[in-house]
Amino acid sequence: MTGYNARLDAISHKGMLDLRGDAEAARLCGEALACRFPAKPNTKIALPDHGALICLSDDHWILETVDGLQLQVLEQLELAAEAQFHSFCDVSDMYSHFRLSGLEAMDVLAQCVAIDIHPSVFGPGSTARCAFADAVAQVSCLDNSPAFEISVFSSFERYVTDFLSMAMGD
Amino acid sequence: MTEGFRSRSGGRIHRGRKISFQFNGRRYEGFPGDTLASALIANGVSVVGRSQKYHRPRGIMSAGLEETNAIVQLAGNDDEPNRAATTLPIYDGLVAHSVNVAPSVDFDLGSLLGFFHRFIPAGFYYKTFMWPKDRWDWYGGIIRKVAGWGTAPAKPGGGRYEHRNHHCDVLIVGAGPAGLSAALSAGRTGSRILLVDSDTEPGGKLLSDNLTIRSCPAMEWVDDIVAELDLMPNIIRLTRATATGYFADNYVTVIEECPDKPWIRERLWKVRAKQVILATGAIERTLLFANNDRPGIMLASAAMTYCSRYGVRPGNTAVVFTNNNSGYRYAIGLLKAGVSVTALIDTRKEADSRLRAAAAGSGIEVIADARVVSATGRRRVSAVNIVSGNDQSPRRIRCDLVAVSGGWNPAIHLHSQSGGKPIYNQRIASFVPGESKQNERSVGACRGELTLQSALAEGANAGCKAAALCGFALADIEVPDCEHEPEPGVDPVWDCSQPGGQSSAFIDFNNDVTSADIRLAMREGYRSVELVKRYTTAGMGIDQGKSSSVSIVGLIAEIAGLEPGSVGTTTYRPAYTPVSFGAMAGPAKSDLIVPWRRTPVTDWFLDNGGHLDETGAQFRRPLFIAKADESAGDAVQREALAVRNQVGIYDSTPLGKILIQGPDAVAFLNRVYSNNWENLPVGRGKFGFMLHEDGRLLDDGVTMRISDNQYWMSNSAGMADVVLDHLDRLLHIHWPELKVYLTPITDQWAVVCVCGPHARDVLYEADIDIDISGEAFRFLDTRLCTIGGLSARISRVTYTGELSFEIAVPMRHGLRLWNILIAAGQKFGITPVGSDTSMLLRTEKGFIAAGLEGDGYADIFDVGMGWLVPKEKADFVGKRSLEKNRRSDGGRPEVVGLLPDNSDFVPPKGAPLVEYDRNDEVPQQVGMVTIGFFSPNLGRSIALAQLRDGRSRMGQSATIYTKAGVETATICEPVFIDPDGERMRD
Repeated sequence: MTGYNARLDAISHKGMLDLRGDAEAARLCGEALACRFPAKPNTKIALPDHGALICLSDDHWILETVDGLQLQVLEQLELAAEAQFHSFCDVSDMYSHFRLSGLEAMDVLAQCVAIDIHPSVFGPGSTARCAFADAVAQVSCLDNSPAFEISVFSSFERYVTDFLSMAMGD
Repeated sequence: MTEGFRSRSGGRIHRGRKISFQFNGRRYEGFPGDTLASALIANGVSVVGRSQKYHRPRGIMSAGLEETNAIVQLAGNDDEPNRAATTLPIYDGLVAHSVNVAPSVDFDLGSLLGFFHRFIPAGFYYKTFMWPKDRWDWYGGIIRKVAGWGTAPAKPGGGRYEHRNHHCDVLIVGAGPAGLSAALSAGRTGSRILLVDSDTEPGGKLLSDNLTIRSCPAMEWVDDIVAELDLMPNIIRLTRATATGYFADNYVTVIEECPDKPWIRERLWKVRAKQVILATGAIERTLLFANNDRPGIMLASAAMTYCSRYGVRPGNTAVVFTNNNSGYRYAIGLLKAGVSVTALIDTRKEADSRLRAAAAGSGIEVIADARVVSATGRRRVSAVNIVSGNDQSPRRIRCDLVAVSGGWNPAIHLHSQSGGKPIYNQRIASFVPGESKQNERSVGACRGELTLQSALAEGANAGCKAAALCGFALADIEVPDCEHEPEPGVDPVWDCSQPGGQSSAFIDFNNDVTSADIRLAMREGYRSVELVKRYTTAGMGIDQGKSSSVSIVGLIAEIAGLEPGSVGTTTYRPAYTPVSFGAMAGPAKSDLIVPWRRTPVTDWFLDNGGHLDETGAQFRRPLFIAKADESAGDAVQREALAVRNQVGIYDSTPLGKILIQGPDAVAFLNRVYSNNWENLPVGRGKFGFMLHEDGRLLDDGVTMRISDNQYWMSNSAGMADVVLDHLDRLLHIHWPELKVYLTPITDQWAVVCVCGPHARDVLYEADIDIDISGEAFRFLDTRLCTIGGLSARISRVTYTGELSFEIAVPMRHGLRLWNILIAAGQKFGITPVGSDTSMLLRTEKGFIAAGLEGDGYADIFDVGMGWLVPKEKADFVGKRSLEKNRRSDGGRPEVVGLLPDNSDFVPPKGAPLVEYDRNDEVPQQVGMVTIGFFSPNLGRSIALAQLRDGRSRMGQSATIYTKAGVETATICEPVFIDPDGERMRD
């Protein structure tokens, strides 16, 4: 056998919104979505209806939703934060997504990213925007099986696919 | 070949199976657990290589990674140079051979150089090969053939080289007694440990030194500890893993050979550790006497290792030569292993009394206050000549093995690489780690504490402390009692050869540097250790000072009459041991080495004759899209004609795109662009130039106002990241008060440009749902629309000077949009065009490329864009510097057009424009060609150029200097087609 015990799957498009604003804007948006925006950078929380919220910094979030709903949600959030200085933007097409899983998924991922992905540090709910080989990716831990989600700029999709395949030993 | 030097029993080899291997074309056998060196010794092979310079026969010197004689090249699928036979485990099918020999290691023509050694001392090539000056390349070729350490593999090796990032709380380098002790105490706290060791099994010196712990063989303790460590989930333990470099922020590189996966040849671990414990041990050093490099002369610790660990006798009749107490233990050990030890030569008058009594009791003649001055024998040592006391008449002792113990050098290399400065320690006559500069601590022998008891105690303490510093509670430390070992009691003697002797005493075996070379260098004025190193090459190369550096320092000190501590050491640099290029390069090959970005249309181009090249921001775009058998030049000419006469289609996706949003967006744009941005209505765009703070051009582009508070900025593809960084820095550092957010959206939108007289027709054919007539949709307008059923944003911008429309759709629809437009354009002769064609078209139109006409010196006025700097505008980034530069500078490099007098001559990009002074025949450069093409639309060649005070030279002649000769051209306005812009505003 050559290759790691890992599996790479492409994930179809998601609805994604880039949300910039202060804490008050986040609070207002949270009310609109019936959730609390995470305040700690590099954390990801799940939302009802298969959505998620990623906190990148104290004024920057990425909202994930089902593809097709993003413009509706964007409208909802624009309305909610109308009185606050903010910048919301549909970025659903900016990213391509992968799921890397399997017993040796960490061995594969460790070849691609320099961040600490040990389960004690980077468990479920952890996320980081980091260098991924020679590109940039948003890497999230999905569960301890282990499984990771990797989101990259769509123009890097082929490169990242090929790099992961190589790292897996294919 | 039989293993005549193999003991009947003993050692840590596995005698149940034999391994067959080849060395220098002969077949030998060994056992699993053997290194190539131990197997060769077992088979009676004495000469394993030749020295680099004099091609002297060399044998195995050590038993570890400090080896500099037995450097071999692997052959076959494992083809690899620079492998030390002492650290290379044998395996079935191993094929290796000596390096730097011709025709063979036994008969090497290069050894003739030895007869001329007096004429080629250190630095001879600096003096000899100075003339004629242009012959150095020739000399270099000869030297490389004569010297060198093997050949680079001709093809990629088998197996895979992998890179892996790793984080841990504590990295422990070395799994000898100190390292194991540290791992145990740190591991018991629960901290994340990475324990690496270069050997095939843990234990360090305990693998060969027959010591006891708790009155039991020390290896029993090792087995117990390793068993416990291997049960801890928080510990990763690597063997055959060498820490080769220690960099800033506790970043350590580790090369692991043959890791857990059989298909991986080497793995480079990039380790980021919170704390590092260095337990790298100490390296025994040799002593200097004439012919101390003869095969059969080796380090005493190595001789002991071969006997006890590998069950081979490195000789039958041994002389041990020492200046410290270690030599006694090894002499007795060799005797027990079946080697006849005829004499122990000790440079000291006094030694540890118990050791001396034990040696004498074993029947070994101990000769105190004596030294070996020379060895005899060529292909194998046959005797040593010694002098003792004040009696300088030599005594000859026959032997076939000389075991030399010249004291111990702590392996301080990684400490030094980490930034620490070694300090001299009188007690061991060597250098020990100084103050730690990073989160690092050295323990045991690598700190100069050479006894087993000290190693265990220091390791345990360091493990606890390191884990505690990472936030883990201290564990119970239990340090077992060990066998008593005397302190080394070293006599710092640096050169035992007799002055004026005919033979050489080698101090650096790797580079064939002798004590005479060091003396010569110092006579010639190179007194600093760094200069001596560079002049003689001592301590360079594979050795990296492991075996030689302290001896060099000691000898310099002795010659200069200084203390070694005041001489200091040279700088130890990575890599500690040779690293294969494969390990450095890793597994990425071809397109994975440097990523390139794709657009939705990339594959279409590849399928349809597109010749891709990187055109900025890692995007590869087609330079042109050639038809079958069409040349590049013909393709570009065809595409350019099509755009001017029919319609072209171009993938503009790589252009940088930034969404600027917020109530202060206008104020922000006003500051970053030179022109005014007030009163731009929604749905309109504007061209702008952005400057650096020093007034130089940064980038140009069109920014569209797409809603009250939203602006869509376009940048050059190659400048997209630079501009974003520039804007982010301004916003976050200089203008945090502005309520503006920037969102890079390049990858959100695929953009297709349709340009040419029939562009509008194509869009109507593609069923666009808005009125795009010249009246309803003017130049620099932007609207939302649907086209071919796709929601899109359409903008009227141009880079070709033609009627142009840019249509942006979400990235996933990019290919669909492209295909819709291609289909709609068929009846109008739509032609896909590449970036070379785009460059030709913009040259015809005289549009400026900030990266070409703006060369880092030219300013906005020089490129003819001064109209973008309103006099009344109070400020913008770069304004002050721009004004200052224009006040103080002389002639400006102004952009002009060139019409070559020979209309077929295309001025090459970068060609200098020159003029001749009346009194000077040497041409003076006054400018340069920035771009040149043959314009199919004009039927002649054209160019843009920077020319000093060019705009005052209109109509004059310019001289273009090329390699092929001189050409002339008429200076003209830099716009060759449609100077009034009627086409693009149609």
